[in-house]
Amino acid sequence: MNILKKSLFTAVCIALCTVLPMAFHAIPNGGILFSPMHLPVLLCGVITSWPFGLFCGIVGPLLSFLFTGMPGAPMLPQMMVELGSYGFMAGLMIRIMRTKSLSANVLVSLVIAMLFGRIVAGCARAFLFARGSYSLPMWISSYFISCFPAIILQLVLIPLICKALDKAGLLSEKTA
Amino acid sequence: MNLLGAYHPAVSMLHSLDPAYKIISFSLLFVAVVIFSSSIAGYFISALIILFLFYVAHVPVHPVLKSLWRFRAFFLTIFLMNSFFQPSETPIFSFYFITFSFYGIAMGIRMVMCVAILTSLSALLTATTTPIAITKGLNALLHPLSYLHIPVNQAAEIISMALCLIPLIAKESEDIVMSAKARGLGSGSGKLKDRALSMAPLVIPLFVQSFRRADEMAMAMEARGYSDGPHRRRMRIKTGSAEILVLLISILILLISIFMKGVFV
Repeated sequence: MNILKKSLFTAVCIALCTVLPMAFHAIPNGGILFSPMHLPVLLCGVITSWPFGLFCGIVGPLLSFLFTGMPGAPMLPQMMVELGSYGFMAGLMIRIMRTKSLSANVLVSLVIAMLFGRIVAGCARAFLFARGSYSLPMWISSYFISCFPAIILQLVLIPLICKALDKAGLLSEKTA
Repeated sequence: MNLLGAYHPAVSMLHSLDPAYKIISFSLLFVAVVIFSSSIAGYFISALIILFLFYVAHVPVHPVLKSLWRFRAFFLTIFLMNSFFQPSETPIFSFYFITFSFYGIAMGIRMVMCVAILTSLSALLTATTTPIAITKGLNALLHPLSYLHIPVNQAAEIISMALCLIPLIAKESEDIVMSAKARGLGSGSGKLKDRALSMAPLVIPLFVQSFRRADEMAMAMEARGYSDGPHRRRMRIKTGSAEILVLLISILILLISIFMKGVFV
């Protein structure tokens, strides 16, 4: 995949970071439960590469904030750190994974990226954004319990989307 | 009318400011509001500053408050998370990792107030600046990074393309939702699980169509000889007396907030 195509795919993912949450807000509390912004960022890392995934994770929430006011300003830096880590690690892991199955590569990359992003975001909150008022139970409840439906949704939907994109001939050989 | 994130056309000093200066000034004010949020007097001062800025910008406050009310579930979640999970020496009751305390309640109220005030401030930034102007401002501010071989131009290009794609993808998502509804899918009713599952047949076509559009755009751009290089024109920052004045006032407010917190005492 050339740089122009990667740039355009990243632009699409950034745009989806604004559009998808608007669609998910039709479900009561859908934004918090299903974390729709995570979907395009993780996908961007998987189908392009880590620099583009990182960029998408940083700029996606910023543009969504500018267009819709959400995530709120105090949550914005935390989300940029979290999503940036997701995009970065998803892009890095998909290059490292060497199994023959696309779904297996994507799933393992996603699980590692989601875990890495949550650890980085937790550390950022504990040492930077909410210094002194953050605890391990808060981390577990906010990153694993309250967003459990989001984790399941992402693990189911992203491999499906990758397969659909592969079928449509839109993925690079390296990813497929 | 949802004013969060929407541009509100008007003729005011804030509207005519250079976006780069506006971003710097608002960033300083964000920091000042966070520092002010350590005391009740600080909240009062922050609210007064924001109300004054809304008045200067000729932007109505009522739609912003109405928009904030739409996110009451989000605010309630922040409040409950802080009330039940803040570690405290004197809890009202404690069970395993759940600790309910007055300290947690106070922290919850503090967090909600802080989020509401900062969201109003961000709404004011977007109400007085178009998204394109914000991108140009960011591009101008990030330009020094290009000396470190960070591809700032390419980043600005991606942001511009994303800005162009947002309305197209939003329209596409609307069309997909409408066609799904016409086929009896994604009715948006029933249990939470059913409603979430009903999103899957909407999300996958949206992604595939959006990426197909991007693929076609890439081919068209390549066919027309598009190349991304360092030759692209750089956005210049306009520095006038209004820009300097606003920047100085922001720095002054930040210094007052630091002084009030007792850092200099």
